[in-house]
Amino acid sequence: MERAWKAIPLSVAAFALAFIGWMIRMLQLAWIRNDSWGFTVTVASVVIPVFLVYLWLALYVLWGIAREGREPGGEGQP
Amino acid sequence: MAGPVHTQDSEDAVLFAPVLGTTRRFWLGATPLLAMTLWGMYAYTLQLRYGLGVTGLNRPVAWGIYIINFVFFIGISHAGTLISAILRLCKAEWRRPITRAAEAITVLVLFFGLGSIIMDLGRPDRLFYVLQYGRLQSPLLWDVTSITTYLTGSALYLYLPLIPDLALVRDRATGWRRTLYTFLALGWRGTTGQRRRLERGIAVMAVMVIPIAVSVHTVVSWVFSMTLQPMWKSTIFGPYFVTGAIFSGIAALIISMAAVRRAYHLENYLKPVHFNSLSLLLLAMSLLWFYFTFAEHLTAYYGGELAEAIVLFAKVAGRWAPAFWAMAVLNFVIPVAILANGRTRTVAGSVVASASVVVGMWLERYLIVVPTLANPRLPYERGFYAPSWVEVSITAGAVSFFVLLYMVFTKLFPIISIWEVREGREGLVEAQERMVSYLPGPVAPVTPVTPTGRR
Repeated sequence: MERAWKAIPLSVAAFALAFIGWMIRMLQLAWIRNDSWGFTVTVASVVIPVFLVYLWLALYVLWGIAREGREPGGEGQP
Repeated sequence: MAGPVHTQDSEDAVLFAPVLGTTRRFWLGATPLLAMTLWGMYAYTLQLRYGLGVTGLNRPVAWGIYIINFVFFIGISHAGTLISAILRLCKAEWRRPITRAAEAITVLVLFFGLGSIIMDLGRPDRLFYVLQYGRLQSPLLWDVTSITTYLTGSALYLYLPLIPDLALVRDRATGWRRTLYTFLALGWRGTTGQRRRLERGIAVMAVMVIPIAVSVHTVVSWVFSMTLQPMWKSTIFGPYFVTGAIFSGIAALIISMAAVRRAYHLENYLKPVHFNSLSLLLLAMSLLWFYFTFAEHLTAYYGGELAEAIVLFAKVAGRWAPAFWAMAVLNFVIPVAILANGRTRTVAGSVVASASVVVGMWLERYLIVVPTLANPRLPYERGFYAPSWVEVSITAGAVSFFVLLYMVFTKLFPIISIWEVREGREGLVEAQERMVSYLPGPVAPVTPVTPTGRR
């Protein structure tokens, strides 16, 4: 369990990055094939920012909560 | 988020009880659902083995019960995240006991929405082609993208407010449960820094998830309305689908709330006032649904285009007339008759109205998909569609599996957000002050109120 606390934030971050990566791959395919470029750019311009917010949630909120939970001392109910 | 543990624990013991132990009633309920799920899985293996030939799909009706279920399940998913996010943003205090039940429906039912698409594929392995060689010109790929975005967002939006409750359960659990909740609670101790991060995360998600939820069902409607098929090519299909989705979503939420209320004796948390508020929302959505249905059919009638007229009359006076009028009764007559009357707008009344709406909305999805495909615009032969036993079994299995998963969820996680209920109890003065800030002019000084309502 020593490193398990990283699993959830990192899984969410990895999924968000994978989806952004897939979207970039779709953009690349559309560019290479000169096919559906306008549609791909439109969808990507909506979806990529949303997944960037999910990435922020993973790294700022989930990682932050988990890191603070491991710090010794601090207020709050154990 | 944390209060005097011992006094509040005795008050909220009923919320911890299902999570910390399992009764025989749970297994009695779960066994038939598991059996039905396994039967559905068996039927699906037959479909995988022999192909879509075992279904009732044919030419020209190439979409059947799976696509109907897909639209229906995605609609139900609007129960949770959307309603919960709107109530959170509005700081509606009555939301506190109902948000978790709503958010859980969204996440679980979305898997079945996606699953319905996979079941509709004769070769599900070809789904990977979409990821490898997808063309974003296709509305089908827009669906894949928007539903994945919604599912991820909804799962995060369910998980974030769950963290403090996971910590509460962790501190009371033993054995494997303690290990599980320690892992999931992320070391939550309720420090100022943790609270700040959590509140920021929930606030951002509550804002983001509303347009995402609305866009998802709009995109689902585009799968139909981007074609030239009669009665599908409609500019109001987006809002029509969103309205229907919220309508069926609220109905599903009321049914699930009534079920957990009865099963776990949560009468003190899920009170008649919660059902009354949701019933009024359901009533408003019923009227709105009627308006959109009327507008949709009026424009088809008034336009008088031959292909549309054939589908329209097949629905209202032809082969599908019984289903059409049953839909009108189930979605409009019954809910309005029950919910518009204060005396019948009880917990039981709202459950009956909701059950009526859930069945009616499935019929509505059926009437959108099948009559149009059976009467195509192009000069093909007209057709008919009746699902085979394999499709019916798979559908029954999927619904059973959804209910089973929901039951398991209520066993693993508190179905009522404990910390939010406690925060509500402790924040009564703050809520009063907020109300005062809404009002113009001088207001009488705030008198503190106890959680029982006594001054």
